[in-house]
Amino acid sequence: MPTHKTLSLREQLNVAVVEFLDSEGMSCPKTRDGLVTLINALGHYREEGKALFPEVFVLDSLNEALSILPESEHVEIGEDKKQAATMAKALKKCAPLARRGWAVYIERRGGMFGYGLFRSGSTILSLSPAELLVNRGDPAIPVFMLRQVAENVIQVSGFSHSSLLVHFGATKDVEVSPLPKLNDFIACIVRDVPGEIQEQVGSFYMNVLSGVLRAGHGTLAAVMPTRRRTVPKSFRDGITISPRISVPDKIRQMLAKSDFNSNAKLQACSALITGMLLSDGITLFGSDGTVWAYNIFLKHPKGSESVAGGARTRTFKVMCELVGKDLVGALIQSQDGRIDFYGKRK
Amino acid sequence: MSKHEITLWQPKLPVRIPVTFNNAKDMVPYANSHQLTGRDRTQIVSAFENHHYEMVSSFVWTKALSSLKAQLAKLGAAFISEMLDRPDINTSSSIDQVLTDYEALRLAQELGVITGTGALRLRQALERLTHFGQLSPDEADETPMTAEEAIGLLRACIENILGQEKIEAALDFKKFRDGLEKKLYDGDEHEIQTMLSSPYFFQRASVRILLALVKTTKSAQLENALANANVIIPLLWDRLAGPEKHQLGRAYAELASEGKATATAGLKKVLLKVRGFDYVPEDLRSTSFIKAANAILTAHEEMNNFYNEPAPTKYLDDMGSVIPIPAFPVCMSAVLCVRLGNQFGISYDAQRYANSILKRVSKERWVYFLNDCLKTDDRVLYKLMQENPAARWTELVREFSLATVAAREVTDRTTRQLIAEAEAGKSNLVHNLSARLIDKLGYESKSK
Repeated sequence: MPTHKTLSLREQLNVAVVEFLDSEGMSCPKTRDGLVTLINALGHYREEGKALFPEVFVLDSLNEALSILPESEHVEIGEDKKQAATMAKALKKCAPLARRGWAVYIERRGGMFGYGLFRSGSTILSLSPAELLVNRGDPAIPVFMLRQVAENVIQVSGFSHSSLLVHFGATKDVEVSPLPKLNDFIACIVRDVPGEIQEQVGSFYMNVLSGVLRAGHGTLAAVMPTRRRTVPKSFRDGITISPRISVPDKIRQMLAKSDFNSNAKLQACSALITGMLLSDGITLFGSDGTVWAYNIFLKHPKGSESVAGGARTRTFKVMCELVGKDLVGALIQSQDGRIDFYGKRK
Repeated sequence: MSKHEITLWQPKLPVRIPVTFNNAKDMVPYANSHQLTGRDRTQIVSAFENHHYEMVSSFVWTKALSSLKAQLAKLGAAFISEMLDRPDINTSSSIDQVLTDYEALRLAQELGVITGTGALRLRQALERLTHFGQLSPDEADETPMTAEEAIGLLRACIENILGQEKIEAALDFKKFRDGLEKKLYDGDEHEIQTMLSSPYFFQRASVRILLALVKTTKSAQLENALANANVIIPLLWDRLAGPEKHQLGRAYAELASEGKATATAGLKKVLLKVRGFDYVPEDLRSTSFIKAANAILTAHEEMNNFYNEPAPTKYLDDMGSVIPIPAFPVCMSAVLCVRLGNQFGISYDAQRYANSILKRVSKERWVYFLNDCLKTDDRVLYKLMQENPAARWTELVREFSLATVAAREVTDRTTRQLIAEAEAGKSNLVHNLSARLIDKLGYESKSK
């Protein structure tokens, strides 16, 4: 006799969301229903066919949150009854505007949800609301944030450092979050950056690479040690940048001058590196935070055709073998969204 | 400051030249050979014998201040920038060029490099030297510097700077500064309790040292500095005046803008503890005003001040109608320096710009200035101890009806009296009350 079975993740998600809200001390049935709706919507959020990657903050006091965000501003879009549908409406109205530093807020106000957009900071180096409100959050200002960290992967994180990762796929647990791998790769890039600007260079690359991963095009990147003075022989089938792009120098200039010009230069640099990472081939970085080359194609050794996966995966295998010799780290994001890192931190 | 008063660090003692000595020949042997060579000494004695008092005073002063500034520069530009609340000083700045003589003396006093009395004598010498430096040739011929004036300057420079084998901060200061980055204090510790009972400038200096460490250190030192900031600043918060609270708020905004996550998060905790986010500026526009105000102060405190003050004062006047509140104290300090001038006069051409700025100060801002800024503004208070600037202060108090404002809204009794006596034209009382405020602040108002 044929059986018909419907599988929904809603129940499971409900339980996880309740646990998350409890651990953050922000329990509320309406918020729970709304959060489940938001997580579901953000997994593949599109408007007019275009993929959007808004960051959504749910908080109890917008004014308090804005007070700790230097140079902040906000735009209220609407307010409605405290129910899941209002959160969905907030996302629909605000997500298309939540770009270039603007994020969506949903404020819990008595029986209502108020929503709109907010931003903070004046330069590309300014700490983001996510950093100040969540990653380094404080119980005095309860807030949690949702965002898509990679295709089909939603991260919900709160001020007390609880987090919930939701993957809409059949991936193993350990492969769900791309962030630890991304952090390891960035640690390789900034390994030899002087201590006084290491934090800023790391944060710059985190923004660039997060954007690249969200774009879902797939990418290959590698880091070579600074002791090398030229691009390794095996990486010469590509475009070598001369003089190489020194992100630390640009950041140093910006910190010294704090003017619009140096900020614009750093922004332009970010766009350029993003473009390189979204090009075919490998982008090659130095462990001092510089960019050496991009669009590099490696020769695959004979017999590598037997390796499972596409050309990008095979190239990654070759790069992994070079770690410890020509490279200190290698990163791949394949077109199916899988992210892997191989390398050694100092 | 009473000599029995508890202080966080004691200044180094000056070299003592016997009071009976009154000629250069007897005094120069007290200079250290690393600071004044044999040739320098011979030239100084010879210039005195030939009555070249202005020339020899300039020479001695330049030697002394260069030596002092070179030593202060070793503290690092970032540290100096924070201690003086001058965001325009950065790692590429040449300390010798950006630090005015007045600021060098103040900083030296705050760090215990020189005593309060030494600083007072050197400041008086500086003002005298500046005066003689800007006389026209005719005036200089008519009223030349006297031997006594030149000897006074020589004595102050040798006793406090040129006679020292090594110019360095007080040992207690170094220990305290090192402690802030190397160990974790709790509120009950002796040094913290001493700081709480020290005069204001020690407390202000402690906050500024902490901010400098938070901005410049990393790893374990940064963690220690932040932990100490979280203990010390909440203990001091209620005693801190507005300008210091704004400096903390601005430091937080600057660190966030520079992407320094650990340091920003640490200061955020402090600000949450003291509920101090009202002091975080909405934007960093205030930094431009602070730089403009410091340009005025630099012009005011350097040679040819009467000729150099109009341009930066006009620049500040042109910057906009409302001065952002974090920049307001230093802007007022700068504008009042122009308006009050010094004992020898004012820059006439700069007055219209200074007055234009002062006319735009709202009543609420005057209340803030009189309540929070004036009592900690050593620059302006020292001016009020001088006859001519005090007379101009009386004019200003009357022109802006400050007595009415003070009587109703100023909480500090001495400040209120200072305004009332100025309104009544009692300049001797203005002098005494200013001296009282300076003593309360922790500086010296009279020679000992």
